[in-house]
Amino acid sequence: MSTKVKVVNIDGEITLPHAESVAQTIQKALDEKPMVLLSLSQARDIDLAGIQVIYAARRYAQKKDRSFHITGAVPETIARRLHQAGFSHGIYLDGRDLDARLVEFGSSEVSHA
Amino acid sequence: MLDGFQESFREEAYELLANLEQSLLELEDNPEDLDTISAVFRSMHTIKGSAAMFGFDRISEFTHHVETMLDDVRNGRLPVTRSLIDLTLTCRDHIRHMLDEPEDDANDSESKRLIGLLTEEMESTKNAGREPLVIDQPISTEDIGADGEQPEAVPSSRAVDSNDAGVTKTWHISFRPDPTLLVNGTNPLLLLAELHELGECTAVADTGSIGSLDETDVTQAMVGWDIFLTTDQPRNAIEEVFLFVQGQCRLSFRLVDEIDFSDEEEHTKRLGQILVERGVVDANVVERAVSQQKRLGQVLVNEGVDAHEVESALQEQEHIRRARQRVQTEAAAASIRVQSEKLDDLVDLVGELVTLQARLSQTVDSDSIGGLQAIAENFDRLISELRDHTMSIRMVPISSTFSRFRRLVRDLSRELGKEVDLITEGGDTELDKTVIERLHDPLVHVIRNSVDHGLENPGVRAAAGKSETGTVSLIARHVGASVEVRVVDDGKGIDTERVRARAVERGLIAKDAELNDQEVADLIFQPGFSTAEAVTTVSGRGVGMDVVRKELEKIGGSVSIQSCQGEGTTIIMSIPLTLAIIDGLLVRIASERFVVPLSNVEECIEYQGDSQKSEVVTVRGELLPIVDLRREFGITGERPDLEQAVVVDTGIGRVGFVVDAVIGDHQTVIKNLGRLYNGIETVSGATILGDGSVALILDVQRLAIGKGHAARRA
Repeated sequence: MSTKVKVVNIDGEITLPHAESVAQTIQKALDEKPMVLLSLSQARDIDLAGIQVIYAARRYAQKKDRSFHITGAVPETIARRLHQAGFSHGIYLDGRDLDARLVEFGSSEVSHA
Repeated sequence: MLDGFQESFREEAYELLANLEQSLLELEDNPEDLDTISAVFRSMHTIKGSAAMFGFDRISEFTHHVETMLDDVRNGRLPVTRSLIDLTLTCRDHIRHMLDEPEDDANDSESKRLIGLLTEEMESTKNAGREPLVIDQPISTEDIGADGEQPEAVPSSRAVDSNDAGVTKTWHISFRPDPTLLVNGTNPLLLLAELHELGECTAVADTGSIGSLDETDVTQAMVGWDIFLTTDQPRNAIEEVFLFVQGQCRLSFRLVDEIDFSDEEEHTKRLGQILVERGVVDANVVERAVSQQKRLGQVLVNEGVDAHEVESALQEQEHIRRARQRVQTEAAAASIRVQSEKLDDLVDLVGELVTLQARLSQTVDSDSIGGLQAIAENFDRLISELRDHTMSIRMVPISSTFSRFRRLVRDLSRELGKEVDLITEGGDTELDKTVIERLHDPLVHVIRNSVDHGLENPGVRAAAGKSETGTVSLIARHVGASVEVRVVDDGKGIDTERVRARAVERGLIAKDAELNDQEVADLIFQPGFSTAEAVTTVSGRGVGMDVVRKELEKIGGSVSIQSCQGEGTTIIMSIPLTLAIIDGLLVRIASERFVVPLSNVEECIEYQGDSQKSEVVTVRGELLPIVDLRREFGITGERPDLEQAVVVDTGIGRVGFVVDAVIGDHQTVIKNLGRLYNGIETVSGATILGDGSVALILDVQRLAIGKGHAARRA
């Protein structure tokens, strides 16, 4: 793995009680490396606070001119929850697909028109 | 001349009118039932839309006026009153008449008269200042706004919302949680999951307020949602999902679509139209964007329109399209309309197969072709299954007929000044469509008799210690291969003395004839018999019960009566499940073969008497009249030394039919004999046997009556 990339692996829940510590971990990684990859493959659950962490991280990266992407497999529970809550229009089990398709995550492109 | 589409419309309209009548009668019993009000409105609305579509403009125009009144009822502006129900039923009858007789010159004047009455009804009720239906106004979640912001307009009151339970609607729910929602212990994702359980749900998250990590408190809720929910649940069911976040969010509801199958075409809104309706952009902005011939959404975003609003509008459009498609697919898959002629053809073909199968079995049995036996048995099993399945397609629940009688009983009770409750049981009992259609008239006669002759006036009932409201029950149930329909009333029962006196007066019985109560009661089935003091429009013309018996016999059924003076009368009708295929007993006389319907057969005995001379046979000490079929059908030749007697219950008594030999049971596919043989009453049809020859099916009732004798079952 390149020293320019850091992978943040979420092991467990990315929910309200853990949101702030995950946010700090990601922010620290983005301060240290130009590219941070977030792996959700070991994540067991996510709530709104956790989703906000991912969005806020992406926006922090954009602000700092860094890269922040989701990578690896996405557990179905997480993918389904994101879809049900209107953050994605499908159930994406691959991190790269999810990264590209999260609503208002990457650009101002609308889904289709 | 009606074209095919118009004919389809008429069929559909008849069904809708039947449902409408049913709903109106239910509404009369439960005037505050909002679901029923809604059902009445929907039926009328659909008739109006379809009538316009198929060129029945007069019906559409007239129905529009009725619909207007019903709309007032639906919105709680008009109360449900007896006069309103009466008037709506009359309008329903008029629509039916316009369908039956579209060219009737009197249609227009009657429409005009009824429209006048509708206007009067609406005006008089409103002027009378009567209270509308009692509807509690719930605490609206629109009032939840934490910051005093006005919520979006909500189109309807609670009355309309609750009315619309069962109607598939799409709601746009705007849900904007307060920042403190999460730390207060609420997980909004669970609320969304709950909404998904109510119907088809699409959520669009608005993440525009989420800032960068270094300037955001991720424990504060920063996301809002536009949710599109298509559901047949009432609005209050949706509101309940948000019950525990009241005061912690801004919430508004907007009805964006209602799936109405009477609409000729889908009205999927365009993206620009949605955005203009939401007040996001002006129409001229949309027009300008459209003129660029590019993807509208992208153009609008580039022009500075909020990306979330565009995304939300796109999702709304897609959601409604998908929901409409799904609901319509489900509706189409639930049932299909098939012309009954096609079913008749199918039944005929299956009948041919059954015949062919019998022939195959017979050939295999006689020729003992190795290996073919097993194939023939499998073929037999498959054909039996195919036959049962095919017949089941023609089966319809008897409730479709029962429901029509609610109106009859209602009108009769008004006319005669009696209070009558109609109770139905076993409505899910299924019968062949043809049988059900032919059962209608006999049932009308019997029910009329029960209400007119059977039930006493309220005063008489009260004096006899009975409830002033009489009861007529329609009860259906399966009994073997038949369905039994009972019409039970709790009226005065048969006055056997009067019946006997009238029978003597008419010469039906001798003055000194010894008849028990049952035999006296059975006299009412004699032609022209009636004990009514006066001929009324309802009954009492002395044709009713005779006609009932004849009609039932025509479909292979029978009718009997049980009565207890002072307690009531029960008319029992026994009807075959189907008219197409019956189980029969195959018998032989010389080389001729006949089929006796197996459901009538009680037993087969050896007959040792001289049928040419004797008119009776003794069965275990009981004397039974006999019908010598050889003599009846003029068959010549030597009689066997030992003949057989098939003992049959004809419905009016037991009779022994003398034959040469009993061959065995036979699945009988009934074929009509054709017009030339219409006059022959002793056979009800014919069937083709396995060897290709024809066997006549005996009409055992006619044969017994023709002989003028039948032994009454003890």
